[in-house]
Amino acid sequence: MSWLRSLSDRWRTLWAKLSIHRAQTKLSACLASATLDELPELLLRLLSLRVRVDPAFRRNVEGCEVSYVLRTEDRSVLLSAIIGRGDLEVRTGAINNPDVELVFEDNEALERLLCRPGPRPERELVAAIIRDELRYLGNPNYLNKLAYLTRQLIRELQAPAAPARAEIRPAPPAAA
Amino acid sequence: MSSSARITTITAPLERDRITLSDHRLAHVTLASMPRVARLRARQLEAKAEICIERAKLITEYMTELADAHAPAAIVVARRVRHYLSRRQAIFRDDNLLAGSTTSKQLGAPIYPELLGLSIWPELDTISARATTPQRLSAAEIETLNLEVFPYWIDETVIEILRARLGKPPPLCLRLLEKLTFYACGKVGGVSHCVPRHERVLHEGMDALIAEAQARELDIELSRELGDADAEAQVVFYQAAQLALRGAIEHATALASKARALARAATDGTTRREYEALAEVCSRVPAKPARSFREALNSLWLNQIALHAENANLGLSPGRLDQVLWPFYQRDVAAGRLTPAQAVELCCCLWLKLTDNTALMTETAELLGGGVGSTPALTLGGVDGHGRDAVNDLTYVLLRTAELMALPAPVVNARYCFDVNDLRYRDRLVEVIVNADASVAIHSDVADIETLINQGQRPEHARDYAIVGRAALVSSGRDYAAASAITLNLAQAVDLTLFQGKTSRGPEQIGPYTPDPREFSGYEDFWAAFATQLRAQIERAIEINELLSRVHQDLLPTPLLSTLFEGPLALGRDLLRGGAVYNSSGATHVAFPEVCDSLNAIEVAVFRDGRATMAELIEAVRSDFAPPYTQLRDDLVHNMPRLGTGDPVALRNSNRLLDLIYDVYQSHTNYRGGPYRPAYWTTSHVSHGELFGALPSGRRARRPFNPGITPTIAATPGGTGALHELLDALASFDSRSIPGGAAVELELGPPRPGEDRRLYLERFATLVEDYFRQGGMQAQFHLRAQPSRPHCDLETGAVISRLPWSSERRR
Repeated sequence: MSWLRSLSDRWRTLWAKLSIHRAQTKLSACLASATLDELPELLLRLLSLRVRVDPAFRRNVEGCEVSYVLRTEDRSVLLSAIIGRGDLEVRTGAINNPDVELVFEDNEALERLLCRPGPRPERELVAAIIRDELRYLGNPNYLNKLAYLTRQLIRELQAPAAPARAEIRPAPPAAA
Repeated sequence: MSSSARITTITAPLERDRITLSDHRLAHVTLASMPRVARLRARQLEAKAEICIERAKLITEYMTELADAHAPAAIVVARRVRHYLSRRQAIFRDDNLLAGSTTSKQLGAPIYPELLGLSIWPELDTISARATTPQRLSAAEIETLNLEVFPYWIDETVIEILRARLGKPPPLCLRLLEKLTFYACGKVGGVSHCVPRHERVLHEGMDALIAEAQARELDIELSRELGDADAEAQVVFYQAAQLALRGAIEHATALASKARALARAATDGTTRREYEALAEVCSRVPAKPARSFREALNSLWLNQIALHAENANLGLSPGRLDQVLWPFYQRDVAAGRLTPAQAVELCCCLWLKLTDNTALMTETAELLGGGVGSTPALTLGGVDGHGRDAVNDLTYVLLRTAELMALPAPVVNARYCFDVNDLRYRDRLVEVIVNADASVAIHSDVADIETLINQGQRPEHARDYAIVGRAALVSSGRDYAAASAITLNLAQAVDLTLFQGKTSRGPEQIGPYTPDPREFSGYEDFWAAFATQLRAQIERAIEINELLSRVHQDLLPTPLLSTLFEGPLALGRDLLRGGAVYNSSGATHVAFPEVCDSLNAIEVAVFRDGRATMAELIEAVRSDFAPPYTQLRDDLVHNMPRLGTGDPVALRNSNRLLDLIYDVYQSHTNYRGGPYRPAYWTTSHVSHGELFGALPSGRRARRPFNPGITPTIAATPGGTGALHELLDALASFDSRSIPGGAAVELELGPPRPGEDRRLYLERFATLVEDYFRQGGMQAQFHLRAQPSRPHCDLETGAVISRLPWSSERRR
C-alpha cells in the first residue's frame, strides 16, 4: 500500500502548493483586522501548508511528535494541531489527551504568543499569563517551538517580498 | 557573651607583616600606568553580548552520541562536563595576563539547555536585534539551536522532568510557580549561588584531589559488601569527581598548547614571551600547586571556568580573595618577585575575566529584570577564623583594583568588624565608594557572624564567611547554602488576605480560605489571616523547591563543584546529597518594605483611627486608587507609619513580620537535612513590582518594589526625615532573624562643589560605623545627585525620599 500513501502525499503536497497563496492572503487580512477573526485556524492551517511544501519548515517537525489543543475558555474556538511523521495536521475540535493545551482569552492573547513580533509588538506573553489571558497545561517548550515557527511564518508574511507561490520549492513526500 | 566579644576573642597571635604598604591607597598605580588594563577595560566596556552555544552544542553532542543510558547520573554529568571542557576551543582573545574564558565569545551568554536555555526559542530570530540589550546569534547558531540542541532537551529540562513526574493535573505549587508572581525557584535555573573553596586546588592542585578520590574509591571497593547501596553511591561519586576534574585539567592543557603555538607564531619578542608565560602557567595549574601569585590567580580562574561547565553562570562567587590568595602574594612580594603595582595589574586582569559572561535573557526577563543575573561576588576584609583582623596588603590591592576598574561587576562585598579592623581600612572603603561609585556593599562582621553562629555554625566557620550576591551569607566552601532557592513575593500574602485567598486579579482560590476582612473587629484578626496566607505561600514554595531538588539530586549532581567544598570528598557524597558541612537553603523575599507599610496602614487607618473602612480600602486597592480613592491614597502615603522610622507601630509590625517569616522557614528541614534561612536581598524587586497590583500602603500598581529592606519613605510628611532615625530603625532588627542576610540600598548626595572632602568622607565613615554599632547588617551606598530612593544628605543628616512608585511612569 506504500504506493497509495505516496500518491496521497503527492496529491496533498500539490494541493498545499495551490492553496498556500490564498491562505497567506487570508491570514494577512486577518492580522490587519481589528478583531483577528479566525486567527488561530488561519495561522495553523498556513503553517501546516508551509510544513508540507517548504523543506525549511518541514525539518522543524521531523522527528517530533506532539499534539496541541488550542482553545478559548468557553470553547467557542477549539482547534487541534498534531505534529508527527514530518507533518503538521490541523483539526477542528479537540483531541483526547493532548500533550499541550493552550487556553487563551481571545485572539489577541493568542496573537501575542504566536505572532510576535507582529502588528502589536508591544504586548508580552508573560504579561498575558499574569493577567490570566493565557494559560497552558503541559510542556511549554512545545509552545516555544510552535511560537518560533509561527513567528517565522508571520515575519515572512510581513516582509516586503513574501515568498510567492512559484518560488516555493516542492518538498519530497513525507517519510512513511 | 556579647556578640562582639565572641568575634574579638583572640585565640592566636596576630600575623606579622600583614600590612607593609607605605601607601595603602596605592595612588601611584593608575590606569595610565597600566596601558594593558586600560585597553582591555575599554574593550570590555564596548563589548556587545553574544550568545555562546559552544557548551550547549557539545553537551548535546555527548548526550545524543556518546552517553551511556545505563550509567549513573553523576557519571553522565561528569563525562559530559569532561567532554565539553576537553573539546571546547582554547581561545586567547587579547593580551590579558590570565588564560581562559568561560565562553567562546568576548562577552558571552552561555546557554544551559538542561535548565532555562529553551526559553529563548521563540526569540531565536529576533534576539540579536531586539531594542533592549540584544544578545547576538549567527544564522548558523540559530539553526544549530533550533534543529539540534533544543529538540533534544525539549523534555529533559529540570522543570519538565518534574512536570512529567508529577503527572496531570499539576499540583498547585507548580501552577503558582508558573504564574510567576507568587514565587520563583532558583533550581529551575541552576544551583550555582555559592562560594566554593579554592584553597586546596591552589595549594595542592587538582591532581591531589584526583588522587584522594582514587584512594577513597579503592578503599571502599576493597571493603564494601555486595549490595551495599551507600558504598556503591560513594564509588560513583568518587569516579565522577575524578572524571570532572580531569576535564578541567584537559582544558588547561589545551590552553597551554594553544599558547605555545601562538608563542611560536609571534613575530615580536614581547608577545612571544607573554604567550610562553601563559603556556607555562596553564601547564602547571590547576593540576599542580600554584607556585606564584600569578599561577594562583590563574588557577582560581580556571577553577571558575570549569565550574561553569557544570553549573549555570548565576552567582558562582570566588569568595574571600584577599584571604585565599594572601599566602601567594605575601611569598612573592617577600621574595622580590612581585610588586604591589604588578599585583594590581594581575587583579585587574582577573576583574575583566570575571565579567566575561552574562546571563542569557529572554526579552521579557530583560524588560522586567534589567539584565540581573550572572554577577559573581568577591568578599574582602573582616576577621579571620580566629577573630583576628584579616585585612592585609592584598585587601588594599583589591580595593585599588575595584577603584580603578569602577565596573558594576564583579560585586565587591567589604566586611568590616568595628573594634577589630583598623579605622584606616574603614575609611579607605568609603573613599573607594565615593571615588569610583564602585559596586561595594559593606557588611558588619558582628551582626553577620552572630546570625551564622545562631544557625549552628561553629564560630571559626562563621567568622570565615563570604557573600553571594550582595547579601547572602555563607561560610566559605563549607556552607552549600543554595542561596536563592526561593524568591517569594510577600505582597501576594496581603492581596490574598484582602480577597480571602483569591487575588485582586482572578477568581481562583489560591490561598486558604480566610474570613472576610470587612468583618474583622480588630487588627489582630487581620494579622491572623495574613499569617495564615503567608504561611501557606511559604509552604508551597518550600514544597516545589523540595520537588525540584529531587530532580537535581537524581539527574544533575555536581561532582566538580562538590570537590571544591569541605565535606563531599571525605564523605563520598555529592553536595546535593548533603555532603557539605552546612546544608541550608536560602529563601529571599521581595516587597518587605511595602508589606510592612501596608500592615501599618491597615492597623492605623482602618482599625486605630478609622480613616477608612476595610471595604473602602479593598475597593481602593482593587481599583488601583482610581477616583474616588485618590484622597485616601494621599492619606495613606503621607500620614501612615512607615518602615524606616521610629514609629512604634512601624517597628512592631516589621519585627513581627520578620519573626513570622523566620519561624515558618526554620520549622522546615530541606532535602539535604539543613535549615531554610530567610533573607531579604536586592533581587527581582523591579520585576515583581512591575507585575503586581496596588497595595494598602498607597503604592499603586505596576511600580517597582524597593530592594531588600530599604524603606520606601522617610519619616515626616513632605518626605524629609532623619537619616539616623532611618538607620536606627533598620539596625533595630534582630540579625538572628535574618540568617540569609538583608540588603539596604541607600543613596548619598555626592560632595558639593567646594565641600571639604575630608569632612565628607569622615561623615560617611561615621554613618557606617554608627549603623553597624547599632546592629545593622549591611548597606550599599550609591552616589547620586538626583534622588530615586532614600537619599541621604550627610551634611544635614536628612533623608530626602522619593517614592520609587510615585512616578506615573508605566512600562
